[in-house]
Amino acid sequence: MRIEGASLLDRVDERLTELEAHVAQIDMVQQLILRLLSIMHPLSSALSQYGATATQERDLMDYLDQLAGRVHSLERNRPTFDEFRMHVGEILPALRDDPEFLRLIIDTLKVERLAYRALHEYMVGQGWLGRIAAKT
Amino acid sequence: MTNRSPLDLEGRVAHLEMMMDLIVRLMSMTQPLSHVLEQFGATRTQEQQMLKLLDELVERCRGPERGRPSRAHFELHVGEILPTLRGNRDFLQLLMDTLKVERPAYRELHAYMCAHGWTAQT
Repeated sequence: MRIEGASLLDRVDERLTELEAHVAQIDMVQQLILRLLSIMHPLSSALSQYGATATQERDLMDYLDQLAGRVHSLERNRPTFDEFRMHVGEILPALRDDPEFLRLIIDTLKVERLAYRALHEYMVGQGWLGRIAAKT
Repeated sequence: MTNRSPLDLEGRVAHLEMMMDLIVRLMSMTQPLSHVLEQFGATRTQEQQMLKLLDELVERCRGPERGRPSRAHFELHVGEILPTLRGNRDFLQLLMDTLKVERPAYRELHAYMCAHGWTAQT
């Protein structure tokens, strides 16, 4: 019985090792896809999909650059969700109060260039995604 | 605390693999290699030359043993097509990695590169 028990444990160990290898492979491919996505200008594609003009796209990028720069500044200068919502609404009035659009911008920052990923982490850390849900 | 059985774990890993396969197939339709080359400053002509080189390598991988490509040959030709990126290890690694999520013929080439230890050398 002990031998059978040990054999079963060995098989479980083997299977766990196989599963770990599968997960490591998935993780590696995911990292590659994230890296490739970031050079395909996903935010630009998302804005274009929502009907933004080239000028609106540039204005939004400028604003996001400014926000990314303020994430590591003094506490009182850091971006707030209300300010973000208001400015995005000013740049893209047709999409003002569209919760799906705001969520898509924040989500897309995660797979954008490196500078925007820190901004995405800040937004998530400050609970902005939850605030979008609360406002709808 | 959740109490998941090993079968749950098997199921979740299988689901992740299925999703990843789908994403890789979708990604391959977006021509990721072109984006990588553009990002690294390649012209359209250089891009065409690179694709031609890769197509030749695919053919040679499928052919007789003596005609199969070596990493040195690959590096030499990549350096000739993109002289400013000659010896750029990051670029070479990304180029080879990207083949994994490109059209099926290039995925075959990627598998050949991995099997012959090309990707471990950068």
